[in-house]
Amino acid sequence: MKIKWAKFRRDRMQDIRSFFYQRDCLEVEVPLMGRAVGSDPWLDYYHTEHRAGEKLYFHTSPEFFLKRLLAQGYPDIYYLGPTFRKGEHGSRHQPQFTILEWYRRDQSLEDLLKELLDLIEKINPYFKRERLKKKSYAELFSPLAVNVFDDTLVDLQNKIREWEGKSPEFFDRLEALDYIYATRVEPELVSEEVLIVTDYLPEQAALAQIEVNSEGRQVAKRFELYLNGVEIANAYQELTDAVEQRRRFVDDLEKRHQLGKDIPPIDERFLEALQEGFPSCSGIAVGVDRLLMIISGQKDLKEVISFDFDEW
Amino acid sequence: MANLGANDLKKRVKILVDGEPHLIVDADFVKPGKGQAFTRCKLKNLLNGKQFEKTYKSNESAEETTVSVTEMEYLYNDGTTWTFMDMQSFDQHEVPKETLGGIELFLLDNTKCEVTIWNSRVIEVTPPNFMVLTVTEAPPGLKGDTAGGRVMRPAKLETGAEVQIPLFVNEGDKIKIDTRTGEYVERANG
Repeated sequence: MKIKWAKFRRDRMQDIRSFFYQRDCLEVEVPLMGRAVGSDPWLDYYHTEHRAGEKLYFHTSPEFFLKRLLAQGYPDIYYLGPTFRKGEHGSRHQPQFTILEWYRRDQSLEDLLKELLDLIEKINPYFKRERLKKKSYAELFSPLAVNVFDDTLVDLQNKIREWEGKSPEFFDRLEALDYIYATRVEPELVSEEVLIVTDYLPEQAALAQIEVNSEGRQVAKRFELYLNGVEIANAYQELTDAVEQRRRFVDDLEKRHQLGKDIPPIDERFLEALQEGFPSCSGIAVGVDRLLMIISGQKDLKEVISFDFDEW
Repeated sequence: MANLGANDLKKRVKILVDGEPHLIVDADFVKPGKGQAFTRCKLKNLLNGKQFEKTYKSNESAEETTVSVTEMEYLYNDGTTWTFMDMQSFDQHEVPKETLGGIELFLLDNTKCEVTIWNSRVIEVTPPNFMVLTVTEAPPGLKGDTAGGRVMRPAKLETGAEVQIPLFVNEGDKIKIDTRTGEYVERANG
């Protein structure tokens, strides 16, 4: 990476910190490793040992630690630092990347979106928030005549076969939707300068609440921001129900088992914190390296970090 | 040959798709939102040159394949096949005209070419980047085309290749052409 970009990066990190300082959001540090880790079936994690048999996991997101702090009574907080995703390396992925994650008590997703746009404006004066478009996850698929709620796995495979001559095998209809998203939806998003995607499927809710949309469908209270087709941020209205959260973790672990993946421990201390009294809040995670990549007009993360994974 | 997992599909690697050799022109790890990862590849079919995209799931694999490149000398042709000789083994290979993709118009007897072989089959022949060929037909310039300031006119070379040449080049002259573009470069001495 050229020194010019290192200075650019330093300046933008400074901007991010002063943004939150001015808005009374407290920066906190959290361990990079934990005794448990996220259960998402599609996220792989690194692990190490403290002592023989005492496994520690590098977090795939600081979420669990941050939420424990919130439950302890911390004010609005943020984390700006590394997180880890095993096996992810490409033009938009590095196994270690810089994540910015913050939580706002008693704020809606709309409020959080506004704050996200304010932040982007601060680090990029050329940002045109009025170019923002909003689409639901379902809308992204409708030009392909795919119904994300009702199409079965067989329906989706038939459509793929129509387009490509044959269809890969899929574990379930979610996987088929992911494939269609990766091959046909995401490449089109590059023409949208600023896009918010909302109303994800309830199965994609992870740690977000679920609500019913205007058409009576269950959707996740979640949005993602895309800049020039690159996913930059992921925001949730956070789930506060410990029972529901545990149920989702168990579902995840079952799926991991079916996929032949490692089964991590459930984060009991996190669930305890949810149980004891977790405030109503919304939270958001931003891929900082990606954001810097976009605002500096680059096409590969390695341009805005010191060492690409291939050069470690 | 080895089965490559989706994570090992990288630029310049060659794989089989539907039994045919393909070059991975580009490959990227893609993981949209919360869901599984894919490797999105830009592939080029080495038999017919077609380029297209193929997306592999993270648990899919592809069989690796290799091609070899050997130097061969062009011997002769019979209108349908062009015969080349491997200078090491002295084996002769008959290559159908279609496989040559037009480069046959730049070959002189004994021209040394790089020949790409896959599965014992010649799939590509690359002549030297530049060839010196004699102009055999060059009607005097009528109204020439102005291309980038140079005034050019059509001519035919000893191999049958048709090129645009400047007005000051005449029949019988030797010229250097770029075989990659089929364009006149300069006059050649001798």
